[in-house]
Amino acid sequence: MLLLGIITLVMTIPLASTYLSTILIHRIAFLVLLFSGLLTYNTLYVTPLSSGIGILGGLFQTTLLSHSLEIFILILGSIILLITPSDEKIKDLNKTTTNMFNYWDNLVSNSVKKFLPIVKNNTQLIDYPLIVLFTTLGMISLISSSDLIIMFLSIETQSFALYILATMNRNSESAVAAGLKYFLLGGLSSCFILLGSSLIYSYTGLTNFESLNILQSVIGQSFEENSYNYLAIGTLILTIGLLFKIGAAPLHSWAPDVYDGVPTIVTTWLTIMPKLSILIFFIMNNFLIDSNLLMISALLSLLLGSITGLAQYKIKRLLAYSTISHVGLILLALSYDTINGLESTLFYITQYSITSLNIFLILILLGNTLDKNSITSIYSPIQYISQLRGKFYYNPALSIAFSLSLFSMSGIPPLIGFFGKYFVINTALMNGNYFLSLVIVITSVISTVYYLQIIKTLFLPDTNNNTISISGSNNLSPILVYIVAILTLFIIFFMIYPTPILNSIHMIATTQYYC
Amino acid sequence: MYLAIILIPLLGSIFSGMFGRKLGAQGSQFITTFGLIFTCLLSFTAFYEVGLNHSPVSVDLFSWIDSEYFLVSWGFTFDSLTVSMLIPIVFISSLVHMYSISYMGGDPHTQRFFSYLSAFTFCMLLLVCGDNLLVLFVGWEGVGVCSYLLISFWFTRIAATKSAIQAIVTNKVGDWGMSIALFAIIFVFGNLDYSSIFSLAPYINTDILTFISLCILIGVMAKSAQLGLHAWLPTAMEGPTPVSALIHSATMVTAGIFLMIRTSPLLEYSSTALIVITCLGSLSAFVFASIGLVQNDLKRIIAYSTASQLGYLGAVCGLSQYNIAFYHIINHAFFKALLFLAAGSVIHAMADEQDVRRMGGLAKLLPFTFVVMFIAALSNIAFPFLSGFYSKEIIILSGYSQYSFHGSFAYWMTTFAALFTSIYTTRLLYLTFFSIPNGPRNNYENTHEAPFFMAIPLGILAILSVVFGYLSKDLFIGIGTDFFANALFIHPNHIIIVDAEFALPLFIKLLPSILTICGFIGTLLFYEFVPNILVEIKLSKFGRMLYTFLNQKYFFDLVYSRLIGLVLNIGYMTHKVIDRGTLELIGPTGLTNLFNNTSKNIASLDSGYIPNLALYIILSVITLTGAILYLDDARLLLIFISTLFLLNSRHFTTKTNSPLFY
Repeated sequence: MLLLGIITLVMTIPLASTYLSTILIHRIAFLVLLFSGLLTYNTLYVTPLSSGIGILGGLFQTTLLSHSLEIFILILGSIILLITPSDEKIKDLNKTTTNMFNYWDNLVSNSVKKFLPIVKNNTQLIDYPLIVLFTTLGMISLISSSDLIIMFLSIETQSFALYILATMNRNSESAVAAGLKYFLLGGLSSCFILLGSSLIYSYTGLTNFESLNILQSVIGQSFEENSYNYLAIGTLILTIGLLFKIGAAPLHSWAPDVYDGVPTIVTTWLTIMPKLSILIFFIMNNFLIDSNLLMISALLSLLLGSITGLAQYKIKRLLAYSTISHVGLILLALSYDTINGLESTLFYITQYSITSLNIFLILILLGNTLDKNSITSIYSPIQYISQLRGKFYYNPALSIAFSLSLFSMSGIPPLIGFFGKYFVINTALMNGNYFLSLVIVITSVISTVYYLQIIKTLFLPDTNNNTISISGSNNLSPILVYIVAILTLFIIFFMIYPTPILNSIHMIATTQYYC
Repeated sequence: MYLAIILIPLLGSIFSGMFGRKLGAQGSQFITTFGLIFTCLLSFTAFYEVGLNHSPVSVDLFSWIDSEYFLVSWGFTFDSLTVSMLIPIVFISSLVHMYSISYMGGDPHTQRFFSYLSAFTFCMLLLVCGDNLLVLFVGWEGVGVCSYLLISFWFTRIAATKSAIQAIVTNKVGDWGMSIALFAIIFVFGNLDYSSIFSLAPYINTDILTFISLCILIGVMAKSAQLGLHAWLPTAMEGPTPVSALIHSATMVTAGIFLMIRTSPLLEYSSTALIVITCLGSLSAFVFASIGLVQNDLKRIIAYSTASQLGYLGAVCGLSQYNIAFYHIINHAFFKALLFLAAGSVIHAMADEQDVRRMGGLAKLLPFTFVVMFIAALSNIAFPFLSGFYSKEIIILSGYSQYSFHGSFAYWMTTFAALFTSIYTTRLLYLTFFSIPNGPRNNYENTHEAPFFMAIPLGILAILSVVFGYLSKDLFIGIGTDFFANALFIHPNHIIIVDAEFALPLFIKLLPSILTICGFIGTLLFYEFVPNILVEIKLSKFGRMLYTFLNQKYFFDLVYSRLIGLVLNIGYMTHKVIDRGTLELIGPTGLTNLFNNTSKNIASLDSGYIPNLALYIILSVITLTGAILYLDDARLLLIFISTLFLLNSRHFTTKTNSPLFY
């Protein structure tokens, strides 16, 4: 259905790219995502969906859960895609430069062009929306995949697109290094996934998840020892490979480097989207997971993410560590095979993606206010926390939104992040896991320290004046500001009317368990 | 109407405090004073309705604390005790307001002053009218705060701020006792309502009641300046004189006594507490009267007189004669307010001179002030047939009629205190008005009689000081009067009023009066004709010691400052060694350092060198697989994690400075 629609639309873009302007391509990609979201929404109320439909001979399996999360992913993706063209639009209005093909160039003001003359002829960057569409395709097929082969293929589709995305900015040494790192280590993890899958296949001869599920539930009861172990090792290694992709703890080491190196827009994409799809894959196929593994990984993620973040002075590295600790929380919620666990996972994923998206959007917007002469990189203008110093006095609204999102991340009560944490801790307590809930509480406190450091920096008076003062703040793209406003208000006012989100999550979770 | 009594002072305070700048000095004077006069009229009506017609009113506003079985509401009750207490509070407060219009007229902060005064009145009304102990406690704290604000009204004077701090700290000690009493009451009775507590009191263990009563007594000691926690009252005289008249003589200091009267159903069942209260009260009466003998500051003498009178009140509460205590509260309020206001008038006239040794001969210059002050002084020393006489006499006599050791103790102590009272009051009068002028010439040239607004309150109070005692004696303490009905409770075993009135030996009965009159006349004679003898007595070795002893207030301040210095030193030591030392090192600083170091250690592992990363990932895969499949005990995992904290990166990180991978 919608997958086919996406594929055809994706195919048209490379053909048309030679004579279409970048902004149009971005708009088209945005519309594609939005439209496929609409299509998905249209089919949401098909009656048999609640019990799951197998498509393409059982290679794909769609349920209400996968469908609703697809909508979520598509909308988030379209929002992230909005960032660049609207930026360009502003620049166009300001300068009326004609070089429409080279839109990265348009981001750069003339002064920076002098330092980076090679930026021109960088036409391959025009493929950004195309690649984004590819990874979205990969993600969506991963969510509804129901076969080992399809799973691997869609993971690779997603990952390869991401590798390219990371190296998008060829002229930046750090971005290329990060992309290469990502590629090599990602290849390593793909090996693990492949190893796991082949172990499973060699032992069982099955690739279909449904059959595997049946087999596992049968042998799980009858043979305890020797026969079960191969399947267990297989799934274990498979899961470890997937954990690498979401950057969970002992396998997280690539994440800070990569996130730090690539342009901020790509970081936005990297921190939110691939995690989302793999986590939803976990939810969909939770028979594959060993809950002990998830708990260990969650524990390590929480500890490493919150403690290591303390020593960071680069903001994107810090956010990477914060992501790691949040992933730990999600994994923890995921490891409980109950309806509560599912609900808290879904809620946490939702709120985390929204808050994180908001933070990165604000980071990009704040980056635009910086003086172009003083920054080191044009694609990620804000690299150090100290660069945020005194931003409150130049753009109070944006800074307050930023602090609110950070507060929400650290789980301060009236904001949405608190409820996420609350549900996770609640689930952990209901399952009698007191130690882990204690760890959550302590690590939350520790991670609050670095969030507060950012906020403190924001509100400190600026010593060296590297901002374009008032006029810079007017230069923001209106649509992004609009989105930031909506997201921030959502974060604040979730408490007042939480019913729609909680109810829909509850319904989704219920269909997953009882239908 | 009943709520208006409480609210009008609050509104007046808010208006003159918040909008004083808009209203101007005269506007806020007008609003607060008029509000108080109106409240005064209302409370007279209330007195008529509730007190004379016996129809108690209770107003339940809304729930305040609603926690399981513990319910506290904002409720007010107006029984005969409350409405009678309203009379001195509101009446004197309105007179003081009126007096202050003139007295504080030249002050740049007039609005603030009037706002504080009204706020104080409001808090006092809250204290009196509440129908549970928590509302009372709110008022209790409120008057403490207002007292602090008013004492330090002239906040640029170091002495004023010092004494304000002393007052609030001493009151905090009392509040501590009070709050323990409240907690104990919640624990024992499960509620704070007067009605529930008092109806349950007979069924509660006496020891528990004694504990509660003693805790209440600590609160009373601080608020009503009984011996031990009294030090703040004399120094509180640093505040403006109207404040001294209103707060530190007539109303706030009686809050403690009021509390004892209010909680009489509790106290009555604890004989131990009663004995303690009696002894403490009579001792205070004696000690403060003797200190008053040798003080030289006009206001301070009156302050010690107040403290001594409060001792009387405490003693009579201990003797279970709450109606007599209450009767004396009202009488005392009138004549003591008059004494203070008149003293204020003298000080005003003498260009703010307060030392009695530098006054003298003012009787001719300030005839009106002299007359009212003379009346007040006579009433203060319980000269027969003035207000003070009726109440003080019966207090002293009820001590003897208890026929017990502590009763006799109270009798003798208070009798001598009465003698001392008469001596120091007469000394005050003589030095101020009769003796040869000792002040600077300028002061005398500029003396002026009290202006109109100051004279009105003086006149009214003078009349009341003369007649009120006689008029209301039968109402409050007449034999068989049912005025107080259920508002206070005297255990049937403790009723001694008949003995006190009719059964005492004639000598005992007349002794206080005789001593008082002897003291009065004797002092006058000594000072007029043979003052040298007094000087010689003072200069003798024993006399000098005694004088120093009394003048230094029994060395209470010295002991306290040594003691407090000691405690503060210990506190400094514990702060330095335990708080900022050990605990800080283990707690905040240590934890922060631990986490920061760990964070740096772990972060330094992220070398960014791809082979390192790959190796690291493969190692963790192996570890994870092993942990899941072969590790049964989760505790081993904890050990594994804790190594993260201990691992020191210096031993196994390779510094790679490759330009490509950084």
